[in-house]
Amino acid sequence: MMKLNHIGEADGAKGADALRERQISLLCLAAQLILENGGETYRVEETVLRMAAGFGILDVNVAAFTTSIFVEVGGRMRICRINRRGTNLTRIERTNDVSRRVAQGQMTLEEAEEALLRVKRYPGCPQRVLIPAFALSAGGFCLLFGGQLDGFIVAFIMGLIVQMIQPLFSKMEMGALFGNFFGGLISSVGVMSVSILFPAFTEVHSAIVGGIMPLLTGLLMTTAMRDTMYGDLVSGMSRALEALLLAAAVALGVYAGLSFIVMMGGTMP
Amino acid sequence: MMSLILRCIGAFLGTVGFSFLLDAPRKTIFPASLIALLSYLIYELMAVGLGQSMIFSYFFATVVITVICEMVARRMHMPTTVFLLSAMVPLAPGYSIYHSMLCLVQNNGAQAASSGLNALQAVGAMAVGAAVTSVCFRSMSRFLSGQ
Repeated sequence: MMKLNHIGEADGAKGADALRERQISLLCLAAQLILENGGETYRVEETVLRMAAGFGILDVNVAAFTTSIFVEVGGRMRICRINRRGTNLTRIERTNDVSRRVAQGQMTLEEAEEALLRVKRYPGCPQRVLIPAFALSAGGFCLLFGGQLDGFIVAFIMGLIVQMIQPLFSKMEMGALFGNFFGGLISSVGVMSVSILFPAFTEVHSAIVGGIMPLLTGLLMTTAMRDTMYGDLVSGMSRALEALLLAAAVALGVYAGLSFIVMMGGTMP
Repeated sequence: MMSLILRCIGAFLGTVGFSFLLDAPRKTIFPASLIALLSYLIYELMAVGLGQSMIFSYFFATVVITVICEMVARRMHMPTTVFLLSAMVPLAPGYSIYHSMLCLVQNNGAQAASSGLNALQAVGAMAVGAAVTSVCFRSMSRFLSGQ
């Protein structure tokens, strides 16, 4: 009788251990989903604390950076590396929804695990939506920077091409840098060619800027500043650096394109 | 006037396209783009119409749209970021950062510094505006609900 009882207790302890492990994994997964998809750093920590409270865990420590997450619960530690960074608001919104439900006790551990895995598997917008969206955005920005209807059309076409080549770089190392560089290159060469073929087309400047605007990272810069203000100094600085680097890649691309046109006998705008 | 209308249309279309690139939830795209259009209008009104300084115009426009975003987000049960990121698209100084980098590449340090500083001013004003407003909003709603 004693023995059985003892075994039962050990099993119980092991079960509690396994449960705790699963809970920590879930917290990590939620944090990872938010960080990978462009959420602010303070939001990550807030979400983890909220979900942990929903599981009844109060002694939780979390530190999130743009490249890694540390979650500690009662002496157990989990480190998660973040390799991919982008912006996907749908994933953020769904993860946030799951965390709210967990916090209010409307969702069990199993349901939450399944829901978050579904968020992770969510593929994002397909290319057939992204291409016209990028083009529309490029055209819109061309108008915003003082273009007229013909500038809109040229920027629209450049946007189509720039987004079409993006999947070539998405699997590469340093893919974002290459994508931005070639985006700038194509946009400047294309717009300059149009202006050489049709001398009546004079909105070179706004069309080039429109074509590359969707690649640019002003938003990343504002997120960086907000991170810094909430006290996440490391994340803020690294995000700002990333934004500068990506903008530099675009600028280099544009400059390379313009130089190429000049070499071919064109004139610098 | 005509060119202002054209630029506003540009701000709206640019934000609609960009929201798809950010993969914003579908039902938020239209309201967020309208808020973006409003942010650009307010900025233009302050900076050009009333002749205010650039920093104050950015700050004021961001405060107004953050308040609207917080209210809409609460109404639609979504995180504020989803709206705010889209709504700030026309104001975000992507162009200044790019221009600064382009000037660096062209070995024009003075222009690069001035554009970079411009971008920093804009970013700072927007970040302060958004952060201060949402902190106020949060503590206010905590106060109202907690009483």
